[in-house]
Amino acid sequence: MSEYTAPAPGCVLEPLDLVLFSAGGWRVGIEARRVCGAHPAPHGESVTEVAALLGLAHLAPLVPLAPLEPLEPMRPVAAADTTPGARQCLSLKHAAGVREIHVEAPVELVGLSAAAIHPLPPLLAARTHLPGLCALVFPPAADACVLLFDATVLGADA
Amino acid sequence: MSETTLDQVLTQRRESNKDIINVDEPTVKLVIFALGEQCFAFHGERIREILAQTDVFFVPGCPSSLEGVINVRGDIESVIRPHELLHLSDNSVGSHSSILLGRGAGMSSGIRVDRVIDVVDVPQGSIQPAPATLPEHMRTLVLGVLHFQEQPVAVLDLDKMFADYARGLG
Repeated sequence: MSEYTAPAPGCVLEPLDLVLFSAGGWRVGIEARRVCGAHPAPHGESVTEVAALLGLAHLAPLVPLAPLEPLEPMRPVAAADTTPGARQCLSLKHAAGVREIHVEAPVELVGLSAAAIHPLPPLLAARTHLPGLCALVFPPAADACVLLFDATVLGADA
Repeated sequence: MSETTLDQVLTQRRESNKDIINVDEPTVKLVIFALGEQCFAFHGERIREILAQTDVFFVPGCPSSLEGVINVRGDIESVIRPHELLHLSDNSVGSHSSILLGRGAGMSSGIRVDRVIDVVDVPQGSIQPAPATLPEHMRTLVLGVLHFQEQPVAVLDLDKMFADYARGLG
């Protein structure tokens, strides 16, 4: 398990790099440091579906989400098909090597300020059924929030 | 000679004294609201704000009693519907519904109510202990009862409500 060092009180944190993708109709994000690569998903290959891991597989999909306005320019993952719904394969860092999961395009790399990332309200944190849901992001003028997950739920290293 | 007797005078004086309000009696601020046809109240110090029409962001994977989250000047707060916790039927949101932003059990959250009736200061003595005839699920949630505008009002314990909700009730 990686060591955690609490930030000093009052210190200004640098923007957090996140990898965003779609799963089960929702816009989802994990820390970019957990991701070591992405490529188009091979056809016919059996890879773990991320929507099932996140608990989103059987939940109603949402209207398309307005794109985030990150602090840094959005960078599509190399060679990624950005067609919404296209299958992408994310490679997550794992002690035994790399774990690959299937996600839905577009896959984006964004940097967000700490102020834009909201911890779950306590009653929501107590009652959510989604394993690993840890924060929410609210893009301006968007109809829905972006769900941030602990990448260890997807099999990444802790 | 006057036919008035001392007894009559004293009786009249005693009767008139009954209408004197003790201005020194402590008062309690209550936020009175309706859930369906029933009236409830929270202690005023538990309610930070009363919000009217506020956009609620749905969050998947939550019980139906957790309506979603709202953005209150940069702070994200949950919104719960207390109907199930109170064993009340939950009708669709009406145009008069509001969100009470409350604090209890060390947590804060919005609470969806069908209608805010009033915010009043009532004499502390007007709040009676909860009757023993209350349904079991209500006994631990009701701090007391009073009458307001000829309607019974149950004063709810927000600490207990939030703690129970966090434990999985409602």
